[in-house]
Amino acid sequence: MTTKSSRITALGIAAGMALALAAGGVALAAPAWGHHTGDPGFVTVRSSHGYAETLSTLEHAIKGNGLMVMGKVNQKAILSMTGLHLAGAESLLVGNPRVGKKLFSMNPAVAAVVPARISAWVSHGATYIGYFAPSALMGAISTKLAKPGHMLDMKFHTIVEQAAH
Amino acid sequence: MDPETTVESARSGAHLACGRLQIERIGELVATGMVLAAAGVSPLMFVAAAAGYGSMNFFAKFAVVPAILAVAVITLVARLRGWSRLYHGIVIAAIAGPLATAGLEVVRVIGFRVFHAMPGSMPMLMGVLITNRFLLGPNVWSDIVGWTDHILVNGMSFALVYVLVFGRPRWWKALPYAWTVATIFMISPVMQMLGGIGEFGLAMGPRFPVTVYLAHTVFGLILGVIVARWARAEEPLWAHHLMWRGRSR
Repeated sequence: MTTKSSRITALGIAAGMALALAAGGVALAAPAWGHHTGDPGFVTVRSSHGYAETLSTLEHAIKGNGLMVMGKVNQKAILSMTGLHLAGAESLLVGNPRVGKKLFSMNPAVAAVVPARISAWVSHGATYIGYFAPSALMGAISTKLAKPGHMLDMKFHTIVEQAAH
Repeated sequence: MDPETTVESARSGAHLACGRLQIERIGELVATGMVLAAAGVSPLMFVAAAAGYGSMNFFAKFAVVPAILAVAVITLVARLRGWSRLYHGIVIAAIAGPLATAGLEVVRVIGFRVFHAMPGSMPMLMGVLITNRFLLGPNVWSDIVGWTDHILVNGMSFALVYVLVFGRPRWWKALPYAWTVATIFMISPVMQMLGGIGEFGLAMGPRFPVTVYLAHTVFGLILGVIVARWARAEEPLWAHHLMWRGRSR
């Protein structure tokens, strides 16, 4: 009886581990909408386009959703000066003066987050888009900022969905 | 009238010639001082920007470009007025400086690419800073600007200072000159701009100062040999003007 019970327990653990591994594998392999790799809400999605096309569609999607590209940081080009040659890495500083006015009126410390940053990069031949969820970063500054942060989350979700697919 | 002939005439006691001689000398001396001041602008731009006095873009537009134009105008005036000592000094610096800097670059690029002795490419960094596109990284235009500033402008500037201050010294005298330039570079605020690598770049280990001194040794060798071989004026103008007869050789 004891032996049979132990076997059942062992089988249960093994099955549980297998399920967990399978789920983990699926999670790792999936395009991963809202795939959070850790706090504070880092979201990354694999693009179905090449690097240049992803950047172009990302910029287009940002403009199409009422936001502006306020600046660019081309890490690929900058790091080429150090001798490191990346396949692709660029960040877009994204914002909207009208929204910015509202946010800065609520709390000027939002300067630490706004303009927000959406990045595209190439890893192992695949292009990814990623960003820190504005709600997580802005909520860390003030709970009052969490609500507009969630609205920006939705915008970013739409933008990245349009750019990646 | 050839200045050497003028000198002889003056020594023979020709009063009018003597008066003419003084004016010509003062004019050439003042022009030489202006060229020396202009030559200091481009090398100082990097230091001033690194020290936080302004952006490279600002200094390039409002200091380096006017300095280049000033040297070009003075060269033309020197040619027209027969200030051969100054004119030939500028010409020899325009040849020796870029060639010596090209030699320096061969060593620096080997140090950077092969031995990872430098934090980055200096000319490319200068290019993106001058064209104000650091966050966008280098492009063809910024590379052209950066390399031109480094090889042509900086190279000629340091050669101008050498030729106009020292005249035509023996070739090896360019070595301590180049090592002095290297040392000042490595204790200047530029080290901060290169990524906070500390004085003599020691945060990168001894590879950095070794590469910089080797590169400047090549710079000094090329500069020294060209000037010793082809520069015309044995003594610098200021020594000549002040009647300092000590040979610089």
